[in-house]
Amino acid sequence: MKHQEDLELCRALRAGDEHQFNQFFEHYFPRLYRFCLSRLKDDTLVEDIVQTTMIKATKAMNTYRGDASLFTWLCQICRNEINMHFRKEARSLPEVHAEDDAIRPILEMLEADASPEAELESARVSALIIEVLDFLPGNYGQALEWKYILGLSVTEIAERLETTELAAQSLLARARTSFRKALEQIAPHLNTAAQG
Amino acid sequence: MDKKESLSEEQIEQLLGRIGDIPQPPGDMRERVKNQVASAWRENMQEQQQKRQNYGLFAAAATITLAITVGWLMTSEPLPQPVIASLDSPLESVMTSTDGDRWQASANLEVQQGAYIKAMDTASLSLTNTLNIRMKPESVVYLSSTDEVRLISGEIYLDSYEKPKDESFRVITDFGIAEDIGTQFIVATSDTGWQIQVREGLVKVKDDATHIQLTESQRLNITATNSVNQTTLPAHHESWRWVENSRPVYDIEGESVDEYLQWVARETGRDLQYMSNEARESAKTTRLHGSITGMTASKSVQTVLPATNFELMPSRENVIIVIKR
Repeated sequence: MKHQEDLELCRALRAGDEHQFNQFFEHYFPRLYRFCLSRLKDDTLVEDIVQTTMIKATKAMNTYRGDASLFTWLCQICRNEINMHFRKEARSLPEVHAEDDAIRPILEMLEADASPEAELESARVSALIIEVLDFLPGNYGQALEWKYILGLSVTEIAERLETTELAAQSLLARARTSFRKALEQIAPHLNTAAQG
Repeated sequence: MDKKESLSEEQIEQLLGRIGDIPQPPGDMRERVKNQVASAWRENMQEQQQKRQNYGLFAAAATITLAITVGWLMTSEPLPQPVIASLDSPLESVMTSTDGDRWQASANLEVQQGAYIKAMDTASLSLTNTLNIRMKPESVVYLSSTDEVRLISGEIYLDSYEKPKDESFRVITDFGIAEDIGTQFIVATSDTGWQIQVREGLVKVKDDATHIQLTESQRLNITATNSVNQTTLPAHHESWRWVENSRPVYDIEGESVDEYLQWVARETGRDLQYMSNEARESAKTTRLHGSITGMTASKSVQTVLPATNFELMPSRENVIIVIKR
């Protein structure tokens, strides 16, 4: 499956479209920032790596083929930059991907106690869920954030998206489906346990 | 709702409601990075436009100058890139490009250094140093030199059996480099990772996090999340089968039965064995005539051997056993 919208965006960037560049930056910079921040915890380093990633990406747009989403492609460049940084620093590589075990604590999160350990685990799980939101296609992650984290109404979401309430509702429904699928993929037992 | 069904909307709300604010980049950082990225992007755009303009100006100048003097044109035109490969498969099996963007049908069988090649069907090309590259449909490569190819997308097979052993060959992907030392191997890439599998010989695999040497029958998957998975795969495994369909032209005219069967064995990832020394010696001195154009190695055997005194014995999947009738 080709990611046509992402391919179109790349073509527009290669053609020098300033408006599309702004869209590209505003859409992907915060996501890459979070992707990098969850791995490095150092704002200065995060800034350097995200900046290098985006510069390299804009120069290599002609190599993006649309086989995966543009964000996945950007994350791969970002991972390479992070790996390169750690190699230069001669340090061990950080954990850069989520194992199934990493999300299992979500199961307990819904009934988490207030112990420091639980809070730490909860923070780790939160970071993972944020990453899932960032990886959702299109505006899905943003729509879920607006609805369930910021508590915006469907009307307000529709206004932000400059669309109708019906379209916003439809988008939210698709976003929830996409979110469920993403969680199911990284934590197959999540649904059963979370509802148990 | 069934307990095993997906999370309800309320549960999604509860889950997302507990993660707190989503971290946002500081405003000043956003400005700094945006300025830097925009500046690099515009600079890159300008360079690209300048190249296109230079090309246009050059073309115009060359046209005018051609009318004035051919001699001047000869000294001002950039030297053409050397031909470093030739196409073994039909012309229509590939499209070529000089920039990886604008594709055109291949005009001839010769391929120049610096060309992008897109396989429209299974395609095969041989470099001037005899290295053979076979491409799966939709794959795209950039021919850097006779020592290096960049795999932009898709899957390619490389066979370096006629290339001197001390000359290595590199396949560069977005994820890392596979470097062969006299071998047959496949490199495949996608936006989510890359894969290398070796049929024979040795391949060094390098990326930022991985340095591994693969030997025959080994396959390595490196995903976009940098997880590495190594498996074993027989040389005649079906994942190699497409390679046979994109074989280079093999001319049997005047070749010995032994040379021909060695080729078949190599093409199909099998070992060649003779039931007796007499059969081996006889195969070396028996010459073949004719053509197997259009046939895969496996199918050609059914046509070629009945015309000789040799036949194949039923055997294990990875071995071809030849007997003399």
